[in-house]
Amino acid sequence: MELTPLVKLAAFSGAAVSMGLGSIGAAIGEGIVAAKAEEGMVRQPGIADEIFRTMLVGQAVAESTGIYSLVVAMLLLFQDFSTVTLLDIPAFLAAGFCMGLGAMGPGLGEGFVAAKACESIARNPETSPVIIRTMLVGQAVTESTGVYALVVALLLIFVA
Amino acid sequence: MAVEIGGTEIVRAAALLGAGFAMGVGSIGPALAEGFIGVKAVEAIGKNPGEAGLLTRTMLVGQAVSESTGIYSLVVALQLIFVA
Repeated sequence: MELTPLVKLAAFSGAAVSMGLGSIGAAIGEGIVAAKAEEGMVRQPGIADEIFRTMLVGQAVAESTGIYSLVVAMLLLFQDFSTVTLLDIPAFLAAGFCMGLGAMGPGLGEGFVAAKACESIARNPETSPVIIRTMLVGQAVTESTGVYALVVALLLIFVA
Repeated sequence: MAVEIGGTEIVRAAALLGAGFAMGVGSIGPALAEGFIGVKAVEAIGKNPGEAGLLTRTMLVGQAVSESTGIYSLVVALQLIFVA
């Protein structure tokens, strides 16, 4: 049996899994942020700009693992299929599942943090600098497992 | 080109698939837990800004402990790729 079509099958399936699963967490997380931001704007219309800015920063961080999924999917789709080996098949499938599943948790977790930050700023606007700082520190730690998943996916694509 | 599939290839394929699933599934729990910790820290600082230093320190310690299972997943995935 020819090897190249099977490797392509694995790479394209891996790209689909990576992007499909990876978008779940980021999308839900960002939706929760927007919902809480609107709730806060209704409560405190005077600081709507501040809440909007916090919402965008929080959503941008929550989006990052979705972008990692996109990067892994693009790497799987647009690679050189001229020199393939048998072990590329499990490696590409595993890379897709690794980044796809690995992006769900950070997207959700960072979204929860940003949502609560918007709510807290609406409740107590003068504390917004310290809340935004704490939000970013907490999101940075939450991001770490997403970075691990990206590292393992890249190792599976390029090294294994 | 035709390929031969023997026991070595099957074991190596299983190790690579296992590495992907180990890191993928293993990162969901720590990330969610760290997010929940961050949620409560942000909420508490919003209610009581005077304790921001203590709350940030407690948040980072709790998140570091939650992170440990994610690091175990990373170690196992790297072992499956490079050692197994």
